[in-house]
Amino acid sequence: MAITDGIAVKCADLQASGGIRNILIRTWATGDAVTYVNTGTSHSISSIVDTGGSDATWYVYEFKNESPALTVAAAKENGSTSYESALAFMMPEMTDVKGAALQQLMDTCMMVIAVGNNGVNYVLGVSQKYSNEKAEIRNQTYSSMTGAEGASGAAYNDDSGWTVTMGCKQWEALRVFTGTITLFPGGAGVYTATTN
Amino acid sequence: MAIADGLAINCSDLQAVGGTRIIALRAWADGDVVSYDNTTHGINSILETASAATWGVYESRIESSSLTVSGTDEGKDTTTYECTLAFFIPGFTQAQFLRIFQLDGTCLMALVIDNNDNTSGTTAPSATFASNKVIGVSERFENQDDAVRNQTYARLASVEGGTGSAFSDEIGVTVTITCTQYEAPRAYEGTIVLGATGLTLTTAA
Repeated sequence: MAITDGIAVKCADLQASGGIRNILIRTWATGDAVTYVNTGTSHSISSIVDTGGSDATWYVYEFKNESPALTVAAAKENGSTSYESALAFMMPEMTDVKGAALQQLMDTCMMVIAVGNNGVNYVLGVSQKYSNEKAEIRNQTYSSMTGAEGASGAAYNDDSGWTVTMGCKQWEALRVFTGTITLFPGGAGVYTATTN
Repeated sequence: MAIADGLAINCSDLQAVGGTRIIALRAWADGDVVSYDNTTHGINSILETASAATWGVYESRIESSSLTVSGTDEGKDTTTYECTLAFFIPGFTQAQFLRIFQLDGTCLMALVIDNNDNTSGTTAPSATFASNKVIGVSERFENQDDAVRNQTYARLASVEGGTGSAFSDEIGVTVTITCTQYEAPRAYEGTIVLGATGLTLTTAA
């Protein structure tokens, strides 16, 4: 792909806040449909819907503020560039509910949206490069839980909780979700979100 | 054959990526017709009883499959090319063993499509399948009467793997397809159509 334009840095870029505002996770499902946008100015996903075709349901994982971070490390070898992404977040207090949440993350192929405090929706585990050409469910560049560290702490003012890391290896830069995200469509106490 | 030209290496060659995109296997069948192109060292078409030939697509874990070619010239006018295609199938399931068992005792041809139909910056799957190699289909020393009696076919050489022992061990098998032929692998230049499920493809002119 040839270089077609440069890039500007504006005041708003310089004022952007760090950190993550929301973390949404869902399991890849048969019938999922993803719409990729590949233009000179957009490397994004405009829609993620499930087999119903109208939206996809995600689960919202809350965390201790200022604990989550998304990191991306790209490395090029020969003509291939791989991107290792990691999203780490801390679920405070090691309770049975948190343990049950970890159990559900252990053996599924997932996709993750990390909504930054700058308003950008970063997608892990959904990439077009080397995706299955006929069935999106067979995409092998999914996200998985690559680590979980629990600690009770020792001192009274130590943290108690789980730090979960969602990782993904893919062969294109992280895409941004530009479709609609609806948080908590079920109302208070139902920790879901939808994309369309 | 006299040397008629040299060989250039361009940026796109240096940016080429490894690995395979699609592995398709097919058993030689009565009525197969192969059309060779010796100008490009390609294959114009592989047909079965004058119609498009159907292949099975064997998916594998990404970055696990490779085609290696080792040519040896012993000073005669014949160079031997040992071609080895290996790919890893994760799971160790009954359905997978059934598919592997079907390769047993069969004279095969293999079509290996690599990842270089698009530049590395392009993400959408290519609509073409031009960057490919065929093993088990060669004109050198073929049967001149009937293509199906070509003795330079590919075959299942080994199936290695297992359950592993630790929970974090890999479970699955590495399938190896080999072929000894007496010309370098050719590229398929005809039409390749991937089936709707992604588990079959057809070759035609």
